[in-house]
Amino acid sequence: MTTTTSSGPAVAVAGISKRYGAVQALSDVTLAVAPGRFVSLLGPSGCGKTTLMRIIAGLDRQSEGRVLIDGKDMSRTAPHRRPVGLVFQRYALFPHMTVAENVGFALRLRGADRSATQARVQELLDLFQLGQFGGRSIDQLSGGQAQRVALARALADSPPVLLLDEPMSALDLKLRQAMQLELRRLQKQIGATFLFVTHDQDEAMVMSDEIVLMNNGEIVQRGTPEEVYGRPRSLFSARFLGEANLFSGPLRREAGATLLDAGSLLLKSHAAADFAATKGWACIRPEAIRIAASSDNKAERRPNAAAGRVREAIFQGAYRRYVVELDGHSLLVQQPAGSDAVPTFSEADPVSVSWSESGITYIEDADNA
Amino acid sequence: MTYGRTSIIAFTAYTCVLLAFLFAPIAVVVLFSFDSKGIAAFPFQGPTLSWYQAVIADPIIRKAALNSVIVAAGTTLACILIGTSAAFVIARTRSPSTTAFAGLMALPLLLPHLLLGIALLSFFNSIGIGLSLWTAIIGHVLITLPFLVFTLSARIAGIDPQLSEAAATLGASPAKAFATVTLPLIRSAMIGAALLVVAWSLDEFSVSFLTIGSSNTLPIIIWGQMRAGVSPTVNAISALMVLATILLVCVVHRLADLKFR
Repeated sequence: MTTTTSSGPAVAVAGISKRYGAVQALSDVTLAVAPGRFVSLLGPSGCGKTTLMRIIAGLDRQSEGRVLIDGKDMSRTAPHRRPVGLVFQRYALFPHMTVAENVGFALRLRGADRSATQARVQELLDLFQLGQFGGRSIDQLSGGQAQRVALARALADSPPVLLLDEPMSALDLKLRQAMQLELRRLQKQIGATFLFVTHDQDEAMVMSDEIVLMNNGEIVQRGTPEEVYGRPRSLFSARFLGEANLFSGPLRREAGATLLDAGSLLLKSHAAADFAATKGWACIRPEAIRIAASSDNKAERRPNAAAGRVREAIFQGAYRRYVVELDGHSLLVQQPAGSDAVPTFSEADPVSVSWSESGITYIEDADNA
Repeated sequence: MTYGRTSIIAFTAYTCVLLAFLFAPIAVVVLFSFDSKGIAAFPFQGPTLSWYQAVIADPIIRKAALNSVIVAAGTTLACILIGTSAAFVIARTRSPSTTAFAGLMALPLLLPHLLLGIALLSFFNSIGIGLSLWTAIIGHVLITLPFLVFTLSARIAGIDPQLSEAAATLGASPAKAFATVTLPLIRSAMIGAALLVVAWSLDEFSVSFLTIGSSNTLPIIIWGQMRAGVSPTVNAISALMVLATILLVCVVHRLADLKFR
């Protein structure tokens, strides 16, 4: 297999739909992935992300639409003729072969000569710290080792595109975190395009150059982790990635600013909402809120600030979280812990909260929210 | 858990009785095949190989033995060719029609062989096919196919279907994926199922008798000779069949062991 030669997308799908009987698994999905990128398909289970990946690999056939790999239309190409590798969720290692035979499978198939195959297999085993495990049988491996064998096997013939189907889900938390960083380093090192399917938002944010957020068989938002987290474009995005304080109310535009009236709260930002509706939502992430001591509980209503009481104070090691009871709202606030510069509060303390304009994202009031 | 002395003795005795029950009749047949007396009755008179010489020298028995082997081999081959795909369908698809298909596949296991033999005989007659080794093979396939299909589908159901997909994404065409991944994983089950088919085919009498026409297989010869009482040659043929079966099992076991880690 060759590496990507053109400057176009490594993988592109256009207008992909997939129906299973009456169930619409994917509807009109269009996506292009630039070469050398680490892109996550993120979404809840049943959102169609695995189906999309299987369609790209050729294991499932789309009902409509086209699949292009390295610029070539492969919509009807059999899976074994597509230049993509795939790491399966349960690894799917061949139980009748040793570790080395598993890793060398693709090379033997294409008839590479023995010594070249052996050298490449050893190189991969060393890369994945499996140097001494070549002769082992598959059932002698731990979960982490099996996962590395699955990766090595998929990468053996250097496919320009690697698809990964939740490969971390069977690992425990510590190992998973270590593998996330390792996988990211590996991807940068070999320069292949990685398309990573996951339902774990932390995993997606840690590893990806780009996140493609999916829900109900559609792409709802794509962008860098910062963009998708910091500027959610729908209530689904806001809620699925991290935590969000969400306020709804009428929107008003005056003097270059947009104001959202949420009863006792007034949110104001000079960043214009990118839609014209007169009703909408505002999203503020918990860490974007400042909290300070206050005795003044009857302050007049000012934009981007409010007064209230701490209802819950939770210590979580690296940070503290507060649920602040406001007039008609409750607000989740997150502050770094372990610094003397940040004051701490207890339950029932009167506090004032505020946030800067840049912490506000306006979201259109959509039916599918 | 430890057992008392009494229960160990009781269990050993039970095992011995069970083994005696299973193998004593066969032992008697083998024993009298070496007896020079000529009738199967105690006391044992003296050892001889003359019955074996008679069996091996008899051209009719040799022909029948050859026919038995041909029918068994043909049946096994046909069963594997037809049955493997049926086993995949039963193991890999879940639908009402698959369940119905599996039920129909199992039906020959339940029907009396005599009835099947008669049905086949009138079927071949009605469509004008002359009886021969071929029709006997068709009859045997009908009986033995379920054994192969269900032994194999049980094994296939235990194989992760993603293994074939993994092979495909690594560049294996469907045929290559079958040869390199699926076949090695079902090989031992296939050999076991084939052995069952061979054993049934060698032993089968009623269907053979009704569908083979003027040819003979060993069970038909034995039945023919039995009409004149239990002859020592029958004992010798039976002993040889037992020996052949044991040899077959040993050879296949060894082959399967070598190929499958």
